[in-house]
Amino acid sequence: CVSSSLDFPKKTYDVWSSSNAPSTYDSTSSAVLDKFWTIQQVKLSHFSLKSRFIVRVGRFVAVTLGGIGAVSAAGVYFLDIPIGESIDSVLPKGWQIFHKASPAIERKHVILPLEPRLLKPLADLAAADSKKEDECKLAEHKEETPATPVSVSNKPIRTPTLEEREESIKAALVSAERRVKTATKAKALSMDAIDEHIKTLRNAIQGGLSGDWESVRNANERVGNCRAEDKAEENDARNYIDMLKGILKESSPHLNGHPIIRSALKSAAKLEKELDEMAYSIKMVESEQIFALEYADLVQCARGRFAEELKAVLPAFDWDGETKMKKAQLNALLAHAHLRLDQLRREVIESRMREESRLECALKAEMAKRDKVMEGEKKMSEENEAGLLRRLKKVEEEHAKRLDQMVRAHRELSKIEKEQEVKEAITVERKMHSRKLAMAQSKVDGMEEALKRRIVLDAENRRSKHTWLACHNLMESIEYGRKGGKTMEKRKKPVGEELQKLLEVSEGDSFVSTLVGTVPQRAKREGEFTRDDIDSRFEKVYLVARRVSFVPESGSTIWGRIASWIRSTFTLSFPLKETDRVDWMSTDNILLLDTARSLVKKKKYLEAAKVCELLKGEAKDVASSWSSSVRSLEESLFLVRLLTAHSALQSVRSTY
Amino acid sequence: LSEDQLGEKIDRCFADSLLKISGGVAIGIVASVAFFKGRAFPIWLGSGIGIGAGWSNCRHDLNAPFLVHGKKVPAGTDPQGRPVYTIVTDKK
Repeated sequence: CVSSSLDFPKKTYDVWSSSNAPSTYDSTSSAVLDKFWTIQQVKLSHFSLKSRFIVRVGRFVAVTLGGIGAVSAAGVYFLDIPIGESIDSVLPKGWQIFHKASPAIERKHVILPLEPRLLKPLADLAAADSKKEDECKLAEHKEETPATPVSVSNKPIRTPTLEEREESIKAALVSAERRVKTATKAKALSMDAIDEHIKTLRNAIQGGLSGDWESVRNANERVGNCRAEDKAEENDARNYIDMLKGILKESSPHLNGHPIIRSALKSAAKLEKELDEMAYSIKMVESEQIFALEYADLVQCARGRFAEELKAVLPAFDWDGETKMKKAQLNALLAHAHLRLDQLRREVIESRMREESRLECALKAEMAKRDKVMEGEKKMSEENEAGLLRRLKKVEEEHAKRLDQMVRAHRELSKIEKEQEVKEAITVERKMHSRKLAMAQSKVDGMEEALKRRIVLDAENRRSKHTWLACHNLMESIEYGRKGGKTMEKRKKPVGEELQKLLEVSEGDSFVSTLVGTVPQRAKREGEFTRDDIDSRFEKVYLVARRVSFVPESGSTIWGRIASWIRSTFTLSFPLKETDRVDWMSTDNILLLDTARSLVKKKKYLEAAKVCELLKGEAKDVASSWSSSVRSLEESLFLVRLLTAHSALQSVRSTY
Repeated sequence: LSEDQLGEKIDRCFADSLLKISGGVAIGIVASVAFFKGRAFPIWLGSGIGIGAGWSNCRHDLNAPFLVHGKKVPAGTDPQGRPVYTIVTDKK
């Protein structure tokens, strides 16, 4: 509205000068227009001032409200935690940068989602890799900077538990085994290198000057490297074994008699033995190496000796390796060679014999030493055996004593337990017996009570049967009346006597006495019409009521009655079906009488009486007596049926 | 019994009408003989009066369902000394 008013086209006319009006306008019309525009301008000017004020005020209010809203939203967001969290969940992830950019604003209980980090797979700890790691560790150890001092905490040292000690023993054992394996492998490599060296050396020596001495040098270098490595490995392995032994020594007082200690000690001894065997094997191989190294000198000596002997046998011959020998020279050389061979053989035999004798002496000495050692061991073993036997005897005696004590204690315990069991069994049996006795007692009491009641029930049953007979008698009296009566009135039998008899028979039964009291006095004094009489009466009622069915309640003249008679004669009655729907309140008397007749034929007297109650006019008066007789009869019969049912029930109730 | 009442009424009706007619006829005869020199009109008049009276009584009887028919029998006196009567119905 404000903008539209502002956009309102302004006329250029001045407020007070109408002379500026265009000449095309008429003076009067221009004056009017002028006035109009002046008024509009005044209005506009007023309006613009107002609108401007309003706009200004509006702007101020809007800005103020906006500022307040923003501040409150920020405050709610940052301080009100639930709303802030919900906003965090809704806003995009970029908003979270704001949190990172504004560390000054502390958000309580705000947990930003963590970015999942992929974990790198763990390094494979194979034996070959461990060797490299150890080499690296050795290299790093050299370059290691001095260790920084570790601050000792004042917290109390917690003694490790038995499980922790076991775990530490197992870990030490596993690491020691691993180290020994590594050392064994290194020693195997060293042995291979030494064998290789010996082989190459022999080949080079046999090759002479043209031998491959480069390979010998390389093999020698390799031997050196392998030996250094295997020594380092051996030291490591021994250190680990020592560490294991230290742990076992420390843990043995705590794990007294634990099988892990024994097995760990055996394992440590086995590992040490393995290392020693490998070291011995290396020594043996090294001795061969030494022998191989001396081989060259021996070969050289042998060659020199051969040259000397050759000179001694053939001083004139100068063999340079290429000159051919003469036959005589060769024979002489051969003879010398044979002689030398015999000599060497003799020397070999002599040395062999010397060696054998030396061996025999050494063997004998060894045997003597062994016999001594064995004797000493035997003595020790005998002493140990005797000591063991003594200890065994002691232990057996102690064991026998303990067994006796245990057996006695067990016997006592079992005796006590058995006595307890016997007591409990006796108690249970007593309870059961008393319960059974109580049950039997209650049964006997019940039987006594039942027998007592039997007599009462018998009397009750007899009485109920008499009552039932009296009720049937009463029913017959009411239904059939005096069978010898010639008229309806004579056939009516007063039931006073029967009721009296009934009261006598059912003495003390309040139900019977109450019902007998409700029987109408008329029935007691005069009796009721019989069913047959009711039927015959209805025929008359039907005829008479049909004749007067068109006579209203207010009566009619004689001519009206005659007309009703004639009309009823010519009125036909159509039978009703059970499925026909009839409005009984608005039907005519003819239909009602026909319905009542059909009901009477079906022996539904009460229903017929109800239908007769719906009759109108004179017909109702005609049928009134019959309806009341039917009602009275049905009432009496109903009471008698009730009494009969009561007596039957009493009879059933008193049956056992 | 209510179904017999109509018959009884009709019987009474006939009986009463007969009496009325015969009475009227008799008075008519007497009047005819005594006063009207043997003319027949008093007899007809008397019978007509009798028929009318009987018809009227019949009509009243038929339209009066609660009227009790019987003998009026004195049964004591009221506090003011006047006799009190009851109607004893005819028993069949």
